[in-house]
Formats: sequence, C-alpha cells, structure tokens
Amino acid sequence: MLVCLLGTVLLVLLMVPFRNDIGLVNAGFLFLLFTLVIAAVWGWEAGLLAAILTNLAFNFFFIEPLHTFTVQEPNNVLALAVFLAVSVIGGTLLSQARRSAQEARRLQAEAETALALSQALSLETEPEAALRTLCREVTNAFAAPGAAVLARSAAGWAVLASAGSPDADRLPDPEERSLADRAVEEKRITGMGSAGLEAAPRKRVVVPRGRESAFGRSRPVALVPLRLGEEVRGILRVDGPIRAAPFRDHPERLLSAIAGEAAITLQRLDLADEAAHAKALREADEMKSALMASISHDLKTPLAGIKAAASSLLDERIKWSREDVDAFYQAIDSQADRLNRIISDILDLNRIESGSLTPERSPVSVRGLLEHAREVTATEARGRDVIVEADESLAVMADEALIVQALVNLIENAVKYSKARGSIRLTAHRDGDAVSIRVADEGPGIAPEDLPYVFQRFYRADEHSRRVKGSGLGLTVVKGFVELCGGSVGVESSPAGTTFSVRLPAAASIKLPA
Amino acid sequence: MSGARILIIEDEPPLRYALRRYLEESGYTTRDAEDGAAGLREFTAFKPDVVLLDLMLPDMSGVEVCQAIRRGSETPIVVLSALGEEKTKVQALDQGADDYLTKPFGMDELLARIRVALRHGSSLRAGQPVIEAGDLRIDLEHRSVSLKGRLVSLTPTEYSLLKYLATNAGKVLTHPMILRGVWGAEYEDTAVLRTYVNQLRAKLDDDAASPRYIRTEPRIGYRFVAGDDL
Repeated sequence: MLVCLLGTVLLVLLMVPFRNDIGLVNAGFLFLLFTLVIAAVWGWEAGLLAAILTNLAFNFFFIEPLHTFTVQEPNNVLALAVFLAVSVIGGTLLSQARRSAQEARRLQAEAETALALSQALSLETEPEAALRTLCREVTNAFAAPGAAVLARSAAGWAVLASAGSPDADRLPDPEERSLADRAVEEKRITGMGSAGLEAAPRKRVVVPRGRESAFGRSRPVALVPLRLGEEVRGILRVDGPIRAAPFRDHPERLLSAIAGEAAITLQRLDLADEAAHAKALREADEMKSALMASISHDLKTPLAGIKAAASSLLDERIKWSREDVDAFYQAIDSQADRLNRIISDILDLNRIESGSLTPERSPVSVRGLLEHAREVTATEARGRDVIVEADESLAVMADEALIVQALVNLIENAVKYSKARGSIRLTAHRDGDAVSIRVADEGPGIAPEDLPYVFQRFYRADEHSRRVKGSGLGLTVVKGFVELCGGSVGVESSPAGTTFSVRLPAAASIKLPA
Repeated sequence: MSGARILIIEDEPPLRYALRRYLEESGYTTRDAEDGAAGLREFTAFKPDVVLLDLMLPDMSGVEVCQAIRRGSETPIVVLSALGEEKTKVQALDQGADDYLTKPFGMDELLARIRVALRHGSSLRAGQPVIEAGDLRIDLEHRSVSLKGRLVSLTPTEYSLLKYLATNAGKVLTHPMILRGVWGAEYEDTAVLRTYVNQLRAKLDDDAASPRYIRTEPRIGYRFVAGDDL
C-alpha cells in the first residue's frame, strides 16, 4: 500500500512540471503503466489500489479544472472511467498471470521435493533410518524448525524418529495428542498455531475443546497422518513456522504427498523385514536339516562298522579264526571310540554355545599338551608320523582338558584331509606374550576362498564335502575351546599343506606333571 | 550261487574288513578297493558278479562309479548308503544301481541282497522268454500272463508295466526309471504309475502290505520280488 502511495506521489511529482509537454493521453498511459507494474508485482489488490490512486491523481493534477476532483468536460469523465476500467482489468489479468506462474513454480517445487524424498527413502533399508530421513527431508524442504514421526500404541504416543531442533524430539503435549488423535481418526492433516498450517487462507484452525485459552501461545504445528489405504501407520509432526516460500501458504498438498510416500516406504520395509525373517527361519531350518543329516551320517558310519563286525561274530554258521575274532573286536572297540568322539564334539559344541562351560586355567607345559594329544590320536593316525617339536620350557595359561581336545581335533582333521602317508608336525614357539602352537599337515591344502570359513560351524570346504566324511564340527569345537581359554586360532594353507595355529597366553611357571 | 565274485568298494577300513572276511567265509570270492579309481580298476581286472559300492568315497562319488560301470556292464550293483544320503542313493539307483543297503546293516541282510542281485544278474544273462515267479507266469513271447494256470487279462499298459518290473526282478526301480521305461521319456506323473501298480496288484491278487510280486520301496519306487526274495 505504501508503495502504491509513494509511487503515485513520485510519479505525480515527476510528471507535473512537464504537464504541458506530456499531454493528457500520455499522462494517462504513464499512470496506466504504473498501475499494471504494481499489479504484476504485488497482485491484484495492490493493482486496484494503484488504479484508484492514479485515477484520483490523474483527475486532480491533469484534468481541467486542475487541483480539484471535479471534471469539466464530459468526455474527460469517460476518459477517467475508461482509464479506471483498463487499469483494473489489466491489473487483474497481470496478477492472475503472476499467480499462475507462482502456482506452476510451486507445483514444480512440490514435485521436485516429493521426488527427492522418494529417492532418499528408496535408498533406506532400515525402518528407523527411513523415518529419520523422512524427518530430515521434511525439515529441509519446508525450512521448518523440526519434524518427527509419532506412533500411537496402547501406552500412548511415542516418537519414532525426529530431525531438526532438539525440541523436535519432544513427546506430544496434550494439544498435540488431541490433534494427532483427530488426524488419525479423520485421516486428514490437522494443525494449529499462528504461523503453521493455519496461516494459510481458508485453513480451518482446530482448537481442542477446553484448550482455547492456551491456543494463542501454542507453537505452530502440523500433524499429518501417514496413511496407507484405510490404515494410519503413524503421524508426521511438522513444527512451524514453515519458511520455505513455495509451500509457506499451502503446505497441505506436499505434506499429503510426502505422507503417502512415507507410508509406502514403511510398508515396503515391513514386507522386506517379514521376507528377511522368513528367509532366516528357512535358512535356519535348512541348516538344521543339513546338520542333522550330516551328524546322522557321522554316527551311522562307525555304527555300520560295529554292526558288521558284531553280526559277523554272531553268525554261528561261520567258525572264525582267533585272528578274525580279534580284528572284529578291535573294529568294534575303535568304532565305539570314534562314535564317542563324535558325540563328544556335538555335546562340546552345545556346551560352548549354551555358555555353560567354565574353563579352569592354570600354567600347562606345551610339550606335555602336544604329547598328550598325540597319544590320544595314535589309533586314528594309523601309523602316520606325528612329530612333536616344542621347547620343554614353553608353558601356556589354559584349561588342559580343553586344549588337549582342541589339539586332538586338529590332529584328526590333519589325518582326515592329508595324503595317506604324509607326516603331521606339532610345533610350538614363543611369540611375544603368547605361545603359538602349530599343527601342520602335508595335504593338498584348502582353497583360498574356503579358508576364512573353516572354523564356522558345519562348514566343510566344498571340494572335500563329498570326499571326507564328517560334519565339520571338530574345527568349530577347536575355535570355541581355544577362545574360552583366552586364545585365538588361525589357519594358513598352500598346495603343499595346511597349518592350523593356536595362540595361547604364555605362562611363567609350569605345573609339573604329577 | 556259491563261489560268485564280489567286489567291495568301501573306504572305511573296519567295514571293508568285516565285509571281506564275512563274504569269504560265506563262500564268495572277494576283492576290495578303498576308493573309486581302485574300484574301477578292480572291476575291469576281477570281473565281479556283484559290486558292493559305498556312496561316499574319497576320490569320487558312488554315483560316478555307478555311471562308469554301467557304461560297459550290467553287473548288479548294491549301494551301501547311510541315512541322510537318500538323494545320492536315488541318484545311484537312477544311474543303474540295482539295490541298496542302509548302514548300519546286519550280515544276514547283506547275504540276502547279494543272493537277489546274483539271481537278477543271471536272469539278465539268460534273457529267457518266460518269467516265472511263484504262481505267476509271464510269457514274453506270446504276451500272455497267467496266475495259477488261469489267464489274466491285462491292458497293454498294465502288461508293459508288469513286463518292465519282472524283467528287472530283484532290482530297485525308481519312479522316474519305470516311467521312462514304460511310458517313455519326459513322463513324470508318479500318480499315474501308482494307479497302474494298484490295478496290476488287484489283478494279480497281490497285497501291498505283504507283497508276493510287486514291493513298494518307500519314496524311491518299486521292486519285483519272486517268492523267497525278501
């Protein structure tokens, strides 16, 4: 308004000294031009004001008799009327064009914002992260102080994610709760405050009953239901005031679009989560079946040897020689031991996994451990060279029984995976604060791609899986036992052989074997 | 058929030893091998009448050994499998193995399977025009079937099925094998097979629970048995 007034005065001041030179028609055109410029820049209301002001000024300063608002010549009345009509019509048209351009810009900005949000959300794989992204994008797009996603449960409203000012994280106050409830119920945006949604023309302000007095001081806020079909998944709370020019006056449309996008993202993540859960269950199930198949194979193989030997012995039609009888008994004995070891592995693994195993650590001679393990595996090694090389003075802090079992498993593994006549070397050396024990075979080695997985439960290198019978539990037990004793395991392999290493904390003094 | 030659391909020393000694004492001539390659070499050199084949060998799978043997020979193969190897077992049967034993097994059961395998092997060699099993008589030349001397009327498909089963007497036939053999390649509907087997059993007065002719091998297929066979 001030611009109109000042502009008119300035224009008059500029034109009056040259009144005779300009002429009536040109003066009218100049006023008309001014009115159109005002309408184009500030809208039709300003244009109308400018039209009236310039009309008065035109009459006062340019139409005879001068300096009065009376009009002498009848055709000047017509000129004034035409002038007013042209300025009003022109101003209105111009301001309409301006509004259309603004609307187009706003639509474009909305579309761009919605697209950016959609792209940002599509990258998210976690629901929490997606909601945080939503809040962040909303805060940025609207240049709002903050945004949050609220969800209603039996216990009341909770904040799932937020962005912007620290205050954005607040729990909804009673007013906001009431508005949020209504947004859920009516499945539409609710808002309140002085500079939020309510600032938009024709926006109905929702004031909770009984809270009217507090309303004036309330923060501006918009509560947008995140709805998918008939279901409301949560509420997007946008704190006002919204400063982003394109959306300041009419944020509803963009907010609705964003809410739809967010709800779809939430559903997508829900579905992905369900699918992942189902997949995990299926995999666990497959794993269990595979494990059961493998364990039952492991158990059946020695059992087959026992059954064959026993049923041979029991056949009364055959008179067995002393030699045969001994061989059958030995087979039964060794296969029973083997069965026992497999069952022990299964139980050990179970104890490790259930956390019920407490290691009893004391200083132990490394050489003693290695020799003990060699003794236990003498039958399994079937006459292979098992060489022990360790300094007498080396000692580790460990649970003797667990480490012997771990070494036994490593020796058995070496026997299983190496060539029939290759030797197995058990060595140890001091390595800083620890002692490194190594079990090396002369087998064909493990493929580099399989190496990282050999200690995993039920993993067997593919190449060997059909060749070597066994569930692959042994190495998992090794890892479990060594780690329980505060150590670590490692493996290196080349086509010339595989070396497993066990690192255990070194001990200062040695418990002498009894 | 005493004195028959049996090749044992098994990598577990205790089981291999027990099988060899028991079969020798039962009057068979045996050779053994601890892996697939040695097994195939022995097969060529020894020319066994029956092969006992473990499914999991250090150098190759039993299925591969089966395929290699079947490329040049019809010698009966009895597969030794452990529980949890069902898939491999069916593969081996599909590749031409005749029968299977599930570990652990008793030696009497082993002997029975070897006897069936030997009989199957000899019937194969004979290629006789008439198959007799208990009261059942199948005349392959005249395409006629009689039970206790009375002619049994069979549809062409029923006859083809019975002929296929009976000419492979003693051998475990998987569903796909029978479908291929009777209905032709690419036929996969086991429900149809079940229907025909039931029709055939009804006409032959055979009981699925205690079969005299057609025995069901659960989840695998069927086997034609004759009288004292299992």
